[in-house]
Amino acid sequence: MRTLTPYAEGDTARLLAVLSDEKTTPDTYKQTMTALGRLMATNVLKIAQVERHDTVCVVCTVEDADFLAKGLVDGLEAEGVDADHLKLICFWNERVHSFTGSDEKVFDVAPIIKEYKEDVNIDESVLIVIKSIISGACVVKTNLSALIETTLPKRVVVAAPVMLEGAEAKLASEFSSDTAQLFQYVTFALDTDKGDDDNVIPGIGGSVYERLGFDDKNAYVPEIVKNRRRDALGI
Amino acid sequence: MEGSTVRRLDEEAICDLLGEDALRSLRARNRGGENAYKGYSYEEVFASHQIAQSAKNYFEDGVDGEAEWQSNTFVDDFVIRRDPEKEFKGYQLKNTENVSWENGSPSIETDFQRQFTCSTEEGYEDILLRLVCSSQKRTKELSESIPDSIESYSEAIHFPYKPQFLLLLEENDWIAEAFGWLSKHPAPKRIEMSNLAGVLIGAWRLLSPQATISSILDKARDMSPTLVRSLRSDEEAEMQLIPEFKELLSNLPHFEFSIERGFLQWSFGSGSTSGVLSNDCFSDAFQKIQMNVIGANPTSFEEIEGLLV
Repeated sequence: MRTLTPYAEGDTARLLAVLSDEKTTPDTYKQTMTALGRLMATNVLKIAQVERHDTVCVVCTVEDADFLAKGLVDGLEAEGVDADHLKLICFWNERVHSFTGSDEKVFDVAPIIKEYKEDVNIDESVLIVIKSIISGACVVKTNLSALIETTLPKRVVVAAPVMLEGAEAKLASEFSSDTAQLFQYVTFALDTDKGDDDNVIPGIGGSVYERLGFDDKNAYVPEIVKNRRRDALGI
Repeated sequence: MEGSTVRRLDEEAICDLLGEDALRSLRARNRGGENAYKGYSYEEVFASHQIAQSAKNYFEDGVDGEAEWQSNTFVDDFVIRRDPEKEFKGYQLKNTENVSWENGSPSIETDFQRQFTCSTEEGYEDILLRLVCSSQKRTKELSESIPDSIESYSEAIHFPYKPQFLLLLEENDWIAEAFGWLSKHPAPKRIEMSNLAGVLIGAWRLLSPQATISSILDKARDMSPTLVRSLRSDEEAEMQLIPEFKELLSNLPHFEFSIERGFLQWSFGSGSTSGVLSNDCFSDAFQKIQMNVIGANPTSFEEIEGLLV
């Protein structure tokens, strides 16, 4: 069952339906993710209490970088976040899980094998962790934990167009209460069901990798990374 | 016993040695392989830590250990046997405050006595039996009250319990240390150690109740090649690099690489982009990456960035 949240205003419900429609082509799926990212920007800024000198750091995974995260970054700039104070971190995670014969999960981890990180002081930043869907929260936990092991940011906004009900509590439970109290969440829809393939229903219409048309996501280098890196390094 | 090898006692031999009461007690407790684990239990977290520590011992002296869980022993929550060293370590775990040497039927004291007798008969000379308790306060009390009959080979030790693995590692550097040593990262973050522990627990779940340390590491690598360090030297790993591959990487502007713990690590643009390859230098996957890079004949990092995973 799906429940739309108060953040799902205007065109949002229609865009979510485009994602869950299995007939949606990869190109349309990408454009829809980008549009949702832009809508997310407005909502994130409503709750993130970003002050003038704060750095806003968008944290994403490789598969979301050119679409959902690009929309968010564009949206934040359109909302007035200064480009000098807007940073990007992108992670390439390997997804590793194993099941016993009875489908019980033996383990579920998402090791980072590569990262792109712009020059950013985490303790002076508001982190916006953006992901197309948050279900078990394994990837978000991994990437967030890697960033905040030694330094806590000012705030952390965890944002996803769709979340599985209970994902917030699951993520928070992995961290100390001092850390978890920094977390705020923005989502447009809360779903309660999962299919046999472990995908949330209706969620984002299945596996984001397949819907975006990735053969090997970890071989992919997002355009947003290439462009921002070229601009930042001048090489 | 010096010079002879160790052997396992079967039920008949245990009955001859300790009597029918002891055998009945042993049969009642051995449930290895029958009860599936649910969640990461105290026993599993402890086992994964022991496996990580034993991997280091294996690396240092080349003696492979054999791990056991509920496998025909009286002290049976976790056992490490290193037969060539005639070394037996048995652990009884109590994730509760309510534990004593004397309580229970049979008592922990009796189980420890029976285990020592069996292990001695089996030919072990270095026998250590430990009562592991999640309560620090209770562990101290247990340490101060070890019965005389078992004192020479028994200890009480503390191992904390915390369902959140990241917090367990944050609060206990000594636990993190063992996982840190086994990680492919020279200075692993807690999440990397936590992932490693997860895959060790996964491997142990699939192989228990009995497996060698090396086979548990192999199984963990089968499930994910990207978490466990190589136990071979970095000099050996370096020798796997094809000279042409090495030269191409060395000539890429703003690019650096090194071999650590058997894996190729790289960074570009003063570390703005960095990674450690998923497979170690001894793997077929790494050989394939080398050939692909050579085939690409790159002059800039961006030409091969997608290959370095």
